[in-house]
Formats: sequence, structure tokens, C-alpha cells
Amino acid sequence: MDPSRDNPLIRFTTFWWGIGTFLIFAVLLAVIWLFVRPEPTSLEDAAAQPRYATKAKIDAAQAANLSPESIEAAAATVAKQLADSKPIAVSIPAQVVPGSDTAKKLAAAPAVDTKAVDAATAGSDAPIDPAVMASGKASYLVCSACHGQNGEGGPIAPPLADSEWVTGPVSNLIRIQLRGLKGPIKVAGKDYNFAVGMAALSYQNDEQIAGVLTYVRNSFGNKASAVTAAQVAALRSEVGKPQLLAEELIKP
Amino acid sequence: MSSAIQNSSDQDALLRAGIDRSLRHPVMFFMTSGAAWLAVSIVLGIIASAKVHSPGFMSGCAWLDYGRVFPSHINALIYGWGFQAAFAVIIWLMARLSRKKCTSAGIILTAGHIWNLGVSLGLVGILSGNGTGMPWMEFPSFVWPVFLVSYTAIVIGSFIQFRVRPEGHVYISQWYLLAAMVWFPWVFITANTLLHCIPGHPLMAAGINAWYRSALVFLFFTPVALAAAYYLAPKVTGRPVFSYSLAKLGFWSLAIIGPWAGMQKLMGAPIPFFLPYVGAAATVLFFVPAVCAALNIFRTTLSSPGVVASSPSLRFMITGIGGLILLGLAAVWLNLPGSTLPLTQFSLSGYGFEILAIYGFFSFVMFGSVYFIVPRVTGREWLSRRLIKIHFLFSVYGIITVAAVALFGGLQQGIGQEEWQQPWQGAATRAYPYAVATTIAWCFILFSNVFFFIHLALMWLRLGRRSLHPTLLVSDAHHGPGPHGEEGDIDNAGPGHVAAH
Repeated sequence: MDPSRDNPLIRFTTFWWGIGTFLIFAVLLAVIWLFVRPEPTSLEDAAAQPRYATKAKIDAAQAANLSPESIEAAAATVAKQLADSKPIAVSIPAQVVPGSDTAKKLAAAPAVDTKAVDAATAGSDAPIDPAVMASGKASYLVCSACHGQNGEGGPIAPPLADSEWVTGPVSNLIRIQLRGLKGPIKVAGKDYNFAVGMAALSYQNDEQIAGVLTYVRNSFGNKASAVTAAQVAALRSEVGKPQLLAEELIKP
Repeated sequence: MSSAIQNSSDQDALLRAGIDRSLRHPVMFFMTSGAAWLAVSIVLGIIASAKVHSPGFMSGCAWLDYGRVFPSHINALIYGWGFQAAFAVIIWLMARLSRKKCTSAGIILTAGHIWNLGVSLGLVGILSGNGTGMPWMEFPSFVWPVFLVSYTAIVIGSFIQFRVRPEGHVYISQWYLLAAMVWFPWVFITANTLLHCIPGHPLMAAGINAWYRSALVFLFFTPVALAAAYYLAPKVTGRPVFSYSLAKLGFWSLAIIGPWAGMQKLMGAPIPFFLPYVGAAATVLFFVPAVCAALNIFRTTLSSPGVVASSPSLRFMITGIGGLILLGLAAVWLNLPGSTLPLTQFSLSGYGFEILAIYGFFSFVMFGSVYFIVPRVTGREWLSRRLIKIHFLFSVYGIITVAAVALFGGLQQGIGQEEWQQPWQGAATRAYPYAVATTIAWCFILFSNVFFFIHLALMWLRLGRRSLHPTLLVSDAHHGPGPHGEEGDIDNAGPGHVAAH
């Protein structure tokens, strides 16, 4: 045994060498972390940055924890601002709010002249484009909710099958779809009066309306002439007016 | 016998007795508390395993959810039992091989208590729902610096002992011990710093975690167990190690291959493509160091079959080395990309492989070391041959079952999981019998380890037999040559005693 190898100095230095050896990787990692911190480079990281920013904002807002008193104090101001604010004028007729000034103005407008539209109706024996029928059948899905799959009518709508109104003047049908209908009506000798009536379905474009009306006029045993998009377009000024009454229609 | 040789042998025996006495309390503390944690871990393991096949078992208690019991089971096994057994072996073996008394038993004992406190608080943390969710690192993150500091306090003395050892030969065991002592802080600090202090992309965090688990097995538990095996095999049989160059090959291949393994657990995940393949290759190649060490130790011991049969240390150690061979084979069998690897990623296999490594290999070698070391540090012999036999047999039955489940049951479950057109129930049905088998195996292992703990606790209470004859598993063995070498039955018989034979 060589006694010179075992002395307090060697033990002391070995102690620190040992600690250093154990921690060398911690030091290495710390250096890497301190000096080689990369900016986010991947697309994912870049995309995540705004999300983290938003999250930080939300966290801060939640941490701020608004008190009920401060919310109550702010309520009056907010309510005043809301009351003072002016609604934006509606530019699309379909968005006219019932009872509003615009709606009243439209209701007061003179009744349209439908003679030209009805005069443009083709004869009932003119051939019908099958593509129009197909598109009309697709659109009829909406109508069938109330009028029934086969136009048989239902608890909230009169039948379309064998209805003199359906095979009657085209302008009636176009106006009903553009404005809706309410009040009592007699269909195929039977009186109906539904509480709500029919809503306007003017969101469809001219071709769609023409298609579905043509389909209705030539299905469920009905046989009548096709409706054209031009006829619908001619009556677009009706959109936004209140629901029609049966009296306003041309008797079939 | 000339008086000079007698004198030197007496001095040697005195030195050994002095080293053993200086380490008595830390070594016995680590072994006993380790054995207690082992029993706790197995109880938790039984609960977790029972929940796999009977989900309603103890389902009323939130503290015993599968998601809490299973991590606490595996963490108690690793940090409670595995590390403490390793500490006992490291400090004792390094002191013996460096021929230096331990001068810091108080510090080691204090650090050991702090370590145990860390394990306890960590387990409470997991069971109360505050685990981190990272496998093998589930303890709440305040625990890991505590572990690091107490680890350093425990092994720094061994580091110094190695440095100031007398000039001369460095034993094979010392290579492995020193490597394990340095590799563990590397692995531990790297994983914990990257996961807790410098959080990066969560996918890569999962990869680092998988690497940590693998590195803990290959770079800490494996070298510590091999150090013990390379000490026990020549010591107990009284023969030199079969081949020095084979040992060198085994050591350096482990050092080169070990650190690369682990990331194969993320095969198919969007991380750099080569990482899982490198991990799979390294895990498969682990077969090389495993076979080198196992062959060397088998060739050293198997020429003395009588000693292997009679010595409890050797029997446990040889079984553990058998577990190492099995572990090497399982590493090949379960990690083939494209065939078995996809089946083992999310099945019982991963767990079975880890249990095979920690119990089938590491723990068996540690049991062998415990049966060797305790009589020397306490100056008493083991009380009962029958208790040792019970411990051995039930542990072997248990671990063979777990290994079989790992090799076949996990693959069956994996095949069920891969059948994506079938309901998930199919995978559960396939795994069911194997999960039941795992529960039964854990019950066997619990039974064996309760007796082990009782036996060890009695030894710690200095209730062992006062005898010069070691407790051997074959009753008439002490009429033959002494199984523990020429120095007597136990090393600290002291210079005043005549050798037993």
C-alpha cells in the first residue's frame, strides 16, 4: 500500500472532482440553454405565438378579476351608449325588420301591376325543361316541410295538389313566395286559416324560385305552364312588404 | 503456514472486518428499507395488475385509481427498492475492493433517510393525484433535486475511496461501479433538466423520457448488477474470472451501445426518423454485452456446481444472470422494427420487459449480494435455510410467469390492438389471461419477499445465528470445502479465530 496516495488533500480534491463529474452535464445543459436559445423557427411555433399572446391576455384579464361593483358602475354607461346608437340602414329588402319605418314605407307603396307578368305566361301545353323540374324538386324539400312530400298539405299549410291557386295566375305564386301569406283562404272548396301563415322565402334567387314554382305547378296531379326567372325578377320589388292577404291576390 | 503469511492474512482479515464495521449501519439501512419498499411496491403492483383484468376492483377510491397506483408501484420499485439496493452494493463493494474504510457513514445514513423521505413524499404526491405523468419520473418535480443531492452524498465517498485506493489492479467490478456512479447523474440530470427546467417540444419530451427509462436500466441497474456478479462469482467459487478480455468486450460494448437505446418506444411518432431506429438497433445490440457478461460469469461458476447449489448468494446471482440472458433475448425479440416492435409499444410487453430487467435480472443479483453481504456486516449468519429457499422458489416462479407474459402475452395483445377493423374489446380479451397471470405472479413474488423482509429485519436486529458455519442451501455442504474461500466462513471471523475447516 502506498500511503502517499491517501491524504486529506487528495481526498478533498477528489471530492470536488467527483461533484464536478456528476454535474458536468448540468453545466453543459445550462450553457446550452443560456447561449443557444433559438428563436421559434418552425411553422408550428410561429403559428403558436399569437395563440400564446391571446392566452396571456385572457389570463391577465381573468387574473384582474373584475368586481361586481365595477361591472354595475359600468352598466349605466354601456346602456346609454347602446340606447344612443343608431341602427344601420338595411340595404337588402329581405332584411327589412317588420314594423320598422322601412317596412311601413314599403307597405304603403302602391300595389304592383301584375298584368304584364301574367300576360307573359306561356300556354299550358308548352314543353317543360326537365332540368328546371329537377332543380325545383330539390328546392321543394323546404316547401315539403309544411305542404307535405306530395303536396297533400298538413296541420300548418293548405294542400298544393289540386289547388286552383297553384295552377292559376303565376303572379300570385311569385308574390306569395316573395312576401308570404296570412289570413283565411279557400283552397279546392275548403276553408283554411292558419295562425302564423306562410313566411316569405325571398332568399332564393330568381332561377330557384322559378324552378320550384314550375315544379309545384307540374306535380301532384297539377298541370300548368312553366314560370320563368324573368317573371320572378319583374316582381322583386315586392320583397320586404308585409305578408299578403288572400284578398290581395287575383282570384284564380 | 509461515508467520509472515499468517500475519499478512490476519491484517487482511482485520482490514476487511474494519471496512464491514464502518459500513454496517448504512448498508443495513439501505437493504432493509429497500426490502420494505419492495414489499410496498409489490402490493401496489398487485392492485394495479388486478385492475387490468377486473376494472371494478377497488374502484371506489380515487387514491387507488389505476392511473395513480401503477406509477406509484413502478416508482416505489425503482427508487425505493432498486436504488437503495444498488447504494448498499455500491458503497460496500467499492470500500471492499478499494480496501478503504468508510469515513462518512453518518453522512450516507443521513442522505439515505432523506432519499427515503423523498420516495415517501413522492408516492404521496402520486397517489394524491399530483404525479407528473412521465413514466418512471412520476414523482412531483420537487423530488428530483432531493434525489440528486442525496445520491451525491451517498456515492461521493466511494468515488474518493477509488481515487485513494492502494496502487495496483482495478477489478472488473470497479469498472462497472465507477461507470454506474458517473452514468446515473448524467442520465438523471439530463432527463430531469430537459423535462422540468428547459421544456421543449412535448413529443421530444416523450422521447427523452423513453430514453431515460432505458438508460436507467442499461446504464445504472445493469452495471451495478454486473459489478456484484463479477465480485460474487470469483469470490464464492474461489476461481479467477474466466476471461478478462471477454469482460472488457462486455463492458465497452455496454458503454457504447447503452446510451443509444430507448427512443424505439416512439416508433411512428413524428420525431426525427432515425431516432427510433437507432434506439431499436441499440436495444437489439444489448444482446452483445449481456451475453459477454453472462458467458463469463457462467464459465467462472459452473465448474463448481456444488458451490452454486449450496450457496444462496451464488444461486440467486446465477439465476439473475439467467435473467440477463433472457433480457438480452427479449431485447432482440421485442424490438424488431416492422415485425414485433409495433406490437409491443402499447401492450403488456413493455412493462414485462422492464420487470424482467429490474426483478428478473437486477433484483436477483441484488438478493445474491444481500445474502453475501449481510452476514459479513452484521457478524451473524442467516437464520433459516427454509426462508431463503421460499424466497428463491417463489421469486423464480413469479418472474418466469412475468417473463412469459412479456414475451407472448404482450405480443398477443399487440396483435389484437393492430386489428383496427375489430373492436378494441378484442385486444382486452386477448390480454385477459395474461393479465390474470401477472397478478398471480405478483402474489407469488409478494409472498416470497415478505419472508425476505422479515428475515432481513431479524438480521438487522442482530438476531442472526452466532456461528462460524454459513447458512447453506444443501445441508451437508459444510463437510466439503468452504464455499466462501479460504479465509473462513465469514470474513469478519477475525484474526483470533481458527478457520472453520
